[in-house]
Amino acid sequence: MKTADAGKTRMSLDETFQTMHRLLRWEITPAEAAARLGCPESRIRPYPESVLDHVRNILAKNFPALASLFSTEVWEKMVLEYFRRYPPHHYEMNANAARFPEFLHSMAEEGRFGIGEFHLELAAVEWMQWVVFSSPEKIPVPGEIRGLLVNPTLAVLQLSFPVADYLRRWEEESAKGFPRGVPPVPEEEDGGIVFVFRHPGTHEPVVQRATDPELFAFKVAHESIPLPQAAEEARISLREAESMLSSAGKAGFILL
Amino acid sequence: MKPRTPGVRPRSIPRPGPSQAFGLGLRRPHFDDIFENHSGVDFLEIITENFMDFGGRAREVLERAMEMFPIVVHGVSMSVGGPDPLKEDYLKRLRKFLEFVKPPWFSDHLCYTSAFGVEYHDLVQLPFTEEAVKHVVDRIKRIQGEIDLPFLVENISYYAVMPGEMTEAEFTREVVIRADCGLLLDVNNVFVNSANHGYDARAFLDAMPADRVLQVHIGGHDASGPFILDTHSRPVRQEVLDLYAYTLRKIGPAWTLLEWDNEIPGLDVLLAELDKVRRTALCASQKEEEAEGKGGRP
Repeated sequence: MKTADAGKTRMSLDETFQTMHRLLRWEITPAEAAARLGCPESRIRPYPESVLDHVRNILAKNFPALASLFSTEVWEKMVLEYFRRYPPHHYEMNANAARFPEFLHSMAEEGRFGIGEFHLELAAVEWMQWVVFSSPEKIPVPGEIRGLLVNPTLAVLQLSFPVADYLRRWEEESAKGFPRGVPPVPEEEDGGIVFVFRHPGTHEPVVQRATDPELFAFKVAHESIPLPQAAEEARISLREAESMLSSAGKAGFILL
Repeated sequence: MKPRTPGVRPRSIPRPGPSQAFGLGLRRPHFDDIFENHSGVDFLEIITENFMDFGGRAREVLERAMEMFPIVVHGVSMSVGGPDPLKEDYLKRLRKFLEFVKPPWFSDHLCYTSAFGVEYHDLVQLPFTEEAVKHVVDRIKRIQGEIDLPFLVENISYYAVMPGEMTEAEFTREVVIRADCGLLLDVNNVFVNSANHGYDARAFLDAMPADRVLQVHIGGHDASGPFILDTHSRPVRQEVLDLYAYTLRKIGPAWTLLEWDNEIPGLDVLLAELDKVRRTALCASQKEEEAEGKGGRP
């Protein structure tokens, strides 16, 4: 039993690794690799395409709202540049999208791809959605909770733009198939504090702009302030304070 | 070239539970359905990297699955044959994960998936050479030294042949025997490779150390192009089922996993496909009994 092509070319194991690596990093063409390896170009071509596809797919998956704000051509150029500058280094595929926000900052500083401040904040929030979704943190269930707890997956972000509102509108339009198109980028800075967390019931990521009552509930839980004391300092009734905590518990960023 | 290892030791890796079982991969589209609709599913296989570092829904579903099914753990990123040192952090996490899941064995691919610090997230074939055999055998022994659980390597599908002096069958056999590990035999990959590289699939199977095969993979492929692509996105073709039957007559009963990883259909479709696999296996065992009655295996 003989395998096609085997034995035509002699090459050390290290030379084989080097040649394949340069091919998979798009540093040499499939034709060049095929010539070195002594195999048909058509058989070697799927490999670099597949490796790049993985990066393309994880960026599209983790930054869908951001991607929709760029033309297909510009987004593809960004994907290729990210692939070139930030080789995947993590065994878990999605984890290799972690440095995309950092890459966008670099590109913005270089004045490339028309990246603005809103894009940077949107990218940070979209990535945080993946972080909380996949977080290994175990969210305690009723019965395991003693007192008042902050959801251990909660991330608190201070933003300049209304990203949470934008994402909500984007998701609504996306669910309908964008009949009215992608929502336009907000022009006015209208930021605030945004909570991103994994919902304890659905396990899906939630992004919400924090209101004053929600910030109150977060502060009480985070700093373990006795509720009567917190109510007194905020100059609200105990009943109002309890209602705020109850709402926060229903939202899922506080665990009761 | 003749195999360099003269004999095969009797099976040193015990099979847990039933010797024949049929399973599916635990995939996100079926996270809800699998607990309600699992007729004929004897075990589940999980992709290590899809569960190992994850909390939330993935962990919840895994814990529930562990209560209902035997679980086997199959990795895609260990880079068993890669040039870099084995990833310490990965092995440490994997060991902890395996202690949690308690599978009867764990597996990864006989290939490499990263090199020079870069992850490809693709299965890249090694050259079929003595140098590569020595390299990968050393690494498998190291993995087995790190993790006290039977380790299986899976034969991959590949489209280009790296320069080398051995055949794929010789290479695979040498690695498995010299590393003293198990073999996860992917019958679809044997079919795909035999068609793409022009060798006899049955001769390949004849050369495998049958007593090392603890698990079998079977799946669908795409034959619409100039060569066959191993896509795991189609029903299993009859030619592959025929080869699977031949495999079982060679190796005896094994745990068989139906792979369907892309364009994943509803669970009903998968269960029907798994039933097809099961019926093929039963038919193969009946034929084997008949053959034994007449005094011979194929």
